Amino acid sequence: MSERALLIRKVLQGHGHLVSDPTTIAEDASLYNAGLTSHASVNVMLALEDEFDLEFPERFLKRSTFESIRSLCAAVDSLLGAEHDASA
Amino acid sequence: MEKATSVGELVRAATADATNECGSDRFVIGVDLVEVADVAASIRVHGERYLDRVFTSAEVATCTDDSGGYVVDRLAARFAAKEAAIKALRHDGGVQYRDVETVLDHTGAPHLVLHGSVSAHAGRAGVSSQSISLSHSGGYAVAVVLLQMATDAKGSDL
Repeated sequence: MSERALLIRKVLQGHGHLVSDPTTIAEDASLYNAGLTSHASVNVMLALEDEFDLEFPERFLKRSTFESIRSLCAAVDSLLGAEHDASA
Repeated sequence: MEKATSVGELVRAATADATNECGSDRFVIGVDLVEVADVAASIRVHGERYLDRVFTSAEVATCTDDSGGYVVDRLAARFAAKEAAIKALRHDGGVQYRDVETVLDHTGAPHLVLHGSVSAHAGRAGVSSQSISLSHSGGYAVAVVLLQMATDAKGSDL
């Protein structure tokens, strides 16, 4: 498990209000089926922005971004990559 | 938590079954339920950043009392309105919650005002009119959004 995925699981533990344990849930399991609400996804987004020092732009603010730990990893990877490219 | 999940499932099921046609008009509804305590917790944890990302300044002003405190059940109802509208629009192209705004008219009745990409999506989908109803009680806030669709809209997937 990557360090980034571990941090995302920690954020979900603190802000996702899931009925399943986010430290053990499968990376491709549906977070919505695990109890993630649309309102909780806002808290997860803000906490991820704090954790990774980034900002989610509009195109990432959709249901599919928050579908799973894997999709959140992909979003964070994309945003951090974009920031790295912009500062290079 | 278990209670909230079961209520959430009911809301999702209601929304999924809520598209109907009536005569030559077509209507779509969306509904959402929010726990007021969740909004209070978000303000406590994320503060102004949460409010700025989710609500317009006019919405926050409407939900602030004379002493400067937030009227959280009203904010929760407005969050529910944003989700209800997004559900009704079947929009998953990326949404700023601030682009779905609840405003009050001179009678105090709520109305939806759409901005940005959400407004553009509604135009493409053929939304010809909209109506909204808000309520809050017992620690929950709920919103229902009704959209009337132009039957000759091009490219509508609603």
